[in-house]
Amino acid sequence: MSDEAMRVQSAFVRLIFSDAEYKHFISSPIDYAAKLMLNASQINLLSPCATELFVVERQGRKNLAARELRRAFPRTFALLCYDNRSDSQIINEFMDSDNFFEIGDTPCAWTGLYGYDNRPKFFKWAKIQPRCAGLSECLKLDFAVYLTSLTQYSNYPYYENFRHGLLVESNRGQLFVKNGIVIGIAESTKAQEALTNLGSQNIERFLR
Amino acid sequence: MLGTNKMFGTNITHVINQSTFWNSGGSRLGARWDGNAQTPNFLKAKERGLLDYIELNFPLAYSEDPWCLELPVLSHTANNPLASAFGISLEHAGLVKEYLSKTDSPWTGEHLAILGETGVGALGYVINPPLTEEFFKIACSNITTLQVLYNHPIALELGPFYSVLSDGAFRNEYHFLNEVARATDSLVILDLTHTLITSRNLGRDPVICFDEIERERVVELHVAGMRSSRHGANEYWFDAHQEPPNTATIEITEEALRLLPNVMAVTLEYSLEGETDGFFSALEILANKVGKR
Repeated sequence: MSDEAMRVQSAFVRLIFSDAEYKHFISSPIDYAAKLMLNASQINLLSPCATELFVVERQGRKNLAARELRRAFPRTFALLCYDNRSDSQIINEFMDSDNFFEIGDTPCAWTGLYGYDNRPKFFKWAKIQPRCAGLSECLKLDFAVYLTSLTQYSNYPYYENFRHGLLVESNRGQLFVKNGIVIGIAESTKAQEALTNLGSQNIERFLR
Repeated sequence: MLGTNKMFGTNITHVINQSTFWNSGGSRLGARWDGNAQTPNFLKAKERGLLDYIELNFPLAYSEDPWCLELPVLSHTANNPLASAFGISLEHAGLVKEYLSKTDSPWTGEHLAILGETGVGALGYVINPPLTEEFFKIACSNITTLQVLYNHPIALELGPFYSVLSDGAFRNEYHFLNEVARATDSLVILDLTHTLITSRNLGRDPVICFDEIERERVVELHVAGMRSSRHGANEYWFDAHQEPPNTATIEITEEALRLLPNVMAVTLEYSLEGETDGFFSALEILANKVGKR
């Protein structure tokens, strides 16, 4: 496969999902071409990306990807949307990042392969965003709910780790999450030990 | 009949030998099964004589059990990026092959698409490739790799087009599809809803697909709902699997069944989010068109 074709494909995919790349392309195609080492014929090939049809296409594709993120991280979005930021803005910032385009480091529950699920990549991106009160706890809780919900669909070893539930630190004690549901709070050390003895894992073990 | 068409060489012999069910002549009606929650409605449709087979998107999740329906299976996947310059994941294709071997599917459906900017993974729904000589060669190379791995016929499908990246080497996306199918001796799945969406968005006549694609290669039709939304002064169309096929889709399905001699399967794509009544009424209408009623 040629490097030129890879560069064209890469540019096309980034123009679909990334607002920052798209603005750059629209405002200065020549600068954009230089940044991506595209020649004149390659930038000409991308010229339909400046049309209204492409705007409509990218809106539709972004909405599809955004829908699954909103469903998986409801508490996180509520906190990230401070200072009147909309959840669309949050998703656009994520799709501008390299985290979105990389394959990530969490295997897909269905296939056991990397790169087929945007939600773990969103987790990785969101945890390095500027902090607001409670964000870390909400993010981990949303992710714990998501990961444990997948145990029913997966028999891959990574997801076996979550079969007996996950524990998430909170200022009220450890939140116990199993099968996609927040079961309750283990306030005492004794309760936390009992859950650990039953096979529940602390989510921190799985966060890189 | 497919078996008499020499254009396809050994592939079609393989198709014919696969199963007595698929070899019994005429078109069959089926539906895409997307998860266990659909099973009750699929069982009812089977009891009413509305389903001859199910189409499955491989790989399945571990807990999914379409096998309890005891219906023949057509194999499909949307996660092998056949037109990707970054190649295809042999690990993913290996999983598809594993599932494919559990079926007597006469072909396995694949999208002529890209999925991202890496050799593995998918960023979302299938993305159309640039229609260039270079991407033609890339697609042919990836398909040949898959054919060796699967040792099974592949049927190629296109997504709906909005913007078309082209260097002029191909007249349109169907010309591209047909040339790839010819060069790799592949079959074709004609998604009629995608065809209508593309034609409406690009202001084209949908019937060009019947002129551009070698009609004998088309073995399966996909049929689904579509919806429109306004963007400024213009109206644009999108895939909508939660809605039943509209009148235009049913009409073009009828036309396709009349014009395409080798269509063995008509597959309804109807998602879990759709109204139950819409699923049954769409199957009833399609059953009538394929001659089951």
